[in-house]
Amino acid sequence: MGHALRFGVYQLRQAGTLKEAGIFHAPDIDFKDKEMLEAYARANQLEFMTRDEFVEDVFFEKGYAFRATIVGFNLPFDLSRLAISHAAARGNQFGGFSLKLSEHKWRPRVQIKHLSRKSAMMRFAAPFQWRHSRSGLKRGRKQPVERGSFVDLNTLATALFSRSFKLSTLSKFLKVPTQKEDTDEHGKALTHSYIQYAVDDVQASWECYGQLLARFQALELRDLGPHDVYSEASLGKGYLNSFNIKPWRDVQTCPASMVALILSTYFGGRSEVRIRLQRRQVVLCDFLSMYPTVCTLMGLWWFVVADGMTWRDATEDAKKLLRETTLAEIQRQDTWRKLTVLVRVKPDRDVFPVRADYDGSGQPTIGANYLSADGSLWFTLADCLAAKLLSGKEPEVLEALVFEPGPLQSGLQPITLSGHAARTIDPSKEDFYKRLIEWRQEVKRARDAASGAEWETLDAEQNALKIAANATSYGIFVEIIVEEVSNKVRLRVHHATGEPFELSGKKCEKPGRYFHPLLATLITGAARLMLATAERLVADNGLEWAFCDTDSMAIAKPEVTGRAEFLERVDNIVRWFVDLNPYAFEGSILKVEDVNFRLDDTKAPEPLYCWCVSAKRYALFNIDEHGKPVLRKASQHGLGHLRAPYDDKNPAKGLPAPATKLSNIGVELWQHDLWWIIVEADLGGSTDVNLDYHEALARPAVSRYGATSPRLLSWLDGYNSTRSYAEQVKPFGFLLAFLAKDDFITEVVLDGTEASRTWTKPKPIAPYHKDTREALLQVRDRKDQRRQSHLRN
Amino acid sequence: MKTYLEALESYPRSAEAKFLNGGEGDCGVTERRHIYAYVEELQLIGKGANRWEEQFFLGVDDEAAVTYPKVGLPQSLREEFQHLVEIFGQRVLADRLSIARGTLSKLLRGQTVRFGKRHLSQLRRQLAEVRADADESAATRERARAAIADLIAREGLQAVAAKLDINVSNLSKMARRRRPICEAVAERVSKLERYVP
Repeated sequence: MGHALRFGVYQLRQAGTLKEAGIFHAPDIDFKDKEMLEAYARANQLEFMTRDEFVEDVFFEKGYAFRATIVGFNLPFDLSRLAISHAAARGNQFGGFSLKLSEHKWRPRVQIKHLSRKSAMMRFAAPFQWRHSRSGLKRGRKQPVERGSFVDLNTLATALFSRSFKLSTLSKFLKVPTQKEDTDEHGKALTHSYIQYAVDDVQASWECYGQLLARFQALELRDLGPHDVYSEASLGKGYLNSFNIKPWRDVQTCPASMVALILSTYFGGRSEVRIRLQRRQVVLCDFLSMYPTVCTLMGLWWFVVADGMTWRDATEDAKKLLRETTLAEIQRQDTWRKLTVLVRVKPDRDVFPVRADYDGSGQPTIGANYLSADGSLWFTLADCLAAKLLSGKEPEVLEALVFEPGPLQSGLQPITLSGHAARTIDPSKEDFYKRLIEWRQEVKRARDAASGAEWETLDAEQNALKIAANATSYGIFVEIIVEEVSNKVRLRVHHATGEPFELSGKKCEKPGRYFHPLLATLITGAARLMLATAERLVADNGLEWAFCDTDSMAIAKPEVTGRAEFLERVDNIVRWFVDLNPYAFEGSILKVEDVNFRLDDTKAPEPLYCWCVSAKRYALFNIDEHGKPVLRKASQHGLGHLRAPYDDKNPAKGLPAPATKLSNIGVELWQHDLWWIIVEADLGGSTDVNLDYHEALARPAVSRYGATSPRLLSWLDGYNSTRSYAEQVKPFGFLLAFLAKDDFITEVVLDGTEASRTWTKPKPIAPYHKDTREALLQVRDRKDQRRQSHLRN
Repeated sequence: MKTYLEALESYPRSAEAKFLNGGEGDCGVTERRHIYAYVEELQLIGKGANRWEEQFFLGVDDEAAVTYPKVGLPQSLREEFQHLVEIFGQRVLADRLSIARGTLSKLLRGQTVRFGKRHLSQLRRQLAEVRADADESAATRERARAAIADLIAREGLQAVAAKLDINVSNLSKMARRRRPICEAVAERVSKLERYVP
C-alpha cells in the first residue's frame, strides 16, 4: 500500500492453515490497474474485491466477528490506509486516532494510540449498537467491549530481539522461506512484479509471525499474549507476573511525600566528556550488565519479592559509613548491601549529580558538578560515597533513612525459563538477576565454542536472557506514563523541598504497573558509584579518562606513560573489580571491550584512539600504516535525527569504506564518513574540518517522522484541506521536518513588511516525498501555515 | 532551509555546557562547574523524557515538558527582585530582564505569573547577570546619594533640583532613601560634581 490506497493483499488463516487469500483495490483505481490486478488474482486463485468488500466481508465479518488476530508489519500505517475518515480519539485514548473503516454505524471504529516508533496501542472501539442482552442485564451481566487482537510484527520483533527491523531485514534475520525484498516501485505505474512483491510481503509477514510467535511462546510468560507486548518492558513485567509477584504499589500504600522524597534523589546514568577535542590513546572498558549487577550487589531482588518495605532513621549509621568507607571498603561486596539508604545533606562544594539547564535550551541535563545549596537536599548514600571518592570531602549528613525489604510475598511461584528444566528458578530462594547473568554467561561460553546453526540458536538464547535481565532490573521500576487530557484537571504536587501545593494542568503522570522508585534511584545511584570508583582508580593509577557513559569509561593514556605501562595499569584497574563479582563464574565485572583488539579476531590489542566532542559525541579509531583513521566505534548523538543524505549506492568519493560492518561501528555510512573527516582533520594537523566532501550535503537537512497523533497531523491541515481524503496525509503517514536558517529573522526584517517583523524562527515541515525538492514545494511552518510562501522563497 | 553542511557546521566542535572549558573554542580537560542551588527556587519537573522521540526528530517542543511551577514566586526570589528594583528601578530592571514592567510589577506584588520553561531559564540567566552588576551599581548609586545630600546641604534643595532637572519632591526622596536613584540621575550627579569646586 502506498500513501493513498491503490490495492492491498490479505491472507485469512485458521490455526495456521491458509483458508483464503485475496487482493482488494481502491474504488477509484485506474481501469488498467484494476484489469491487471484481476488477471493476477485469477491466475493465482486469489479472491478479488473492492476495499469496501474487503472491510465488510473479511475485516469485520471474519476478522472482528471471529475474534481473529490481525497481524501486520507496521500495522498502524496499514490500518490508516484502509480508513475512510479519522478523528481524534477521546477518553483514555486521547492523543490517539479513531479510524472509521465502514460507513455502517454498527461497525466499530479502530482506535490507535502511538506509544513509540515501534509500538502503538490498537483496539476496536465500542460499536454503535446495544450489545447487552436483557436477560443478561437482569442477572447483572454486561457484555464487555470486544477490543480485538492486533499484533504488529515490528513491535513484537523489537521486544524479542531488542533491535530495529524492517520487514526485509526481519525476514532475513529469521531466515523465513519467503524473503521480503526492497523495491523502488512504490507510487509508480503498476506492474506484475509489484503485485508479486505485495503478495510476497504478506506471505513473508505470515512466516515471520509464525517464527516470532514460536519464540514468544517459548518464553512461557503467564497471562501475556503477543498482542499485549509493546516493548521489552512488557516482557519484563511478564516475567514478574509469571513469578506471581505482586507490584509494590499493590502491597503497600506509601505516603505521597515519601514517593516525592525518593524521586527527588533519582538521576539517570552519568554521561560526560573529560578530554575534548584532543586525540588520546584509550582503552574502552565497560561494566558487565551494570544494572543487574548492582541489583545483585545491593540485594534489590528481595525488595521486588517483598511484601512492602520499611524505613527507619539511620543518621548515625550513615555518618559512620560515610566517614569510614574507603576504596578498600567499597571493594567489599557486603558494603554494597548497606547502600539502601537515602541521605539528606547540606551540599557545600560536594560533587553531586546536578540536573540543570546548562546550555539555556530549556532542556535540563545531568552533570556531576560541585554543588552548594542554601538548604538541604536528598541524595542516595551511593552518591555521597561517590562525592567523597571524587573530591576527598565527605558531604555533611543531616539525616538518613535506611530502607529494608518486608517479609516475602505469599504465593510466589517458580518458573522455568524457555522450557529448560535446568533453568528453573524459585523467586523466594534465589536472586533472579544473579541467575540470569550466570545462565547467560554459560550460554555465551557454549556459543563461542559452537558454530553454524548451533551458534545461532545459542546466540538467540543468550540474547533472550540478556533482555530478561535488562527488562526486569531497571526501567519498569521507574515507568511513568504521561497522559495528556483534553480538559485541565486539578493536580496535587508533592515534592521534597516544601509543602505540597495544587495547580491545574493537562498532563497527568501515572506510575507504571511495577513502579518502585526506590529501586530505580538505588540502581542508578550505585551505577554512578561504580563509575566514580573507576574514575578514582584511574587517577590513583596515574591515568586519565576521556569520556564515560552510564556503564563505560574510556581510560586515557597520559603522554608521558608508555603503552606497555598504560596497559598494565588498566589491567590493575580491571582486576580491582574482581572482588566485586557477585556471580558464580570468575572474572572482573569491568571488561575491556572488543573494540580494543584487532579487527581480525586474534584478540591481539591494537592502539585505540579517541576523539571526543561532548557528552555522548565521540569516535574511537585505530590509525593505519598510512596515518589514516580506521573507525571502530562512533556515536550517532546529534546526528541520528537526520535522514541519510546519501547511502552506499552513491558513496562519498575519496573516502575509505568502513573497515567493519557499520552496525559494529554503530553508525550509518554518512555518519561514519563525517566522523572520519573530523578525525582525519586532526591527524592531518588541521583545526578546520572541511565538511564539503559530498554534493548531497549541500541539500536541505531533513528529518522524517510519522504523523502519529492528531496534534502532529494538524500541522498539515492547510495541505489536507484542499485535497480529497484519498490524497491527504493520513494518520501515521510521514512528514518531513526541515531546519530554518539561523539568520531567518534577519531575512524577514529585510523583507520590510510590518507583519513579518513579529515572526519568530519557523519550524518548517512538509508532507513526505522521496524527492526533497518536491517536498519543499509543499513546505509550511508547523505553527503558522500562512508562512508557507515565505518559506518557499 | 539549512543544508546538511550548515546543520553540521558546528558539530565537530559542539560545546559541552555541563562543564567549564567546554566552549566551542576550548579543548583539553573539562572542569566541573560550581552550582549554587537556592532550594526554594528549585524547579519541579516530571518525566524528563516525555515525547522524547517526537522531539528527537522534530525539534524541541517546550510544551512537551512536564513541569510543576510553584504558585507565585519563591519568597527569596521576590525579595531579590525588590532589592534589585531598589538599585535599578522597575523600568531598567524590566528592560534588563526582558520582561514587561507590568509583569515585573505583578511579580513584586506576589501575583502568579507563568513563564514558559525556556523563558524562565532565560530569566534566571539574565537575573544572574543583573545580580553581578548590582553590587557595582549599588556602590555608584550610594556615591550619588551622598553627593546629592552634600549638594543639597550646600546649595539648597530647589537649586540642586533645577541643576539636575529633577522634580524637587523626587530629589528629596532620593536623598532620604525613599526613592531609588536611577542610572541617568547618577550620571547627571557625577557630571555636576565635576563642576563643583
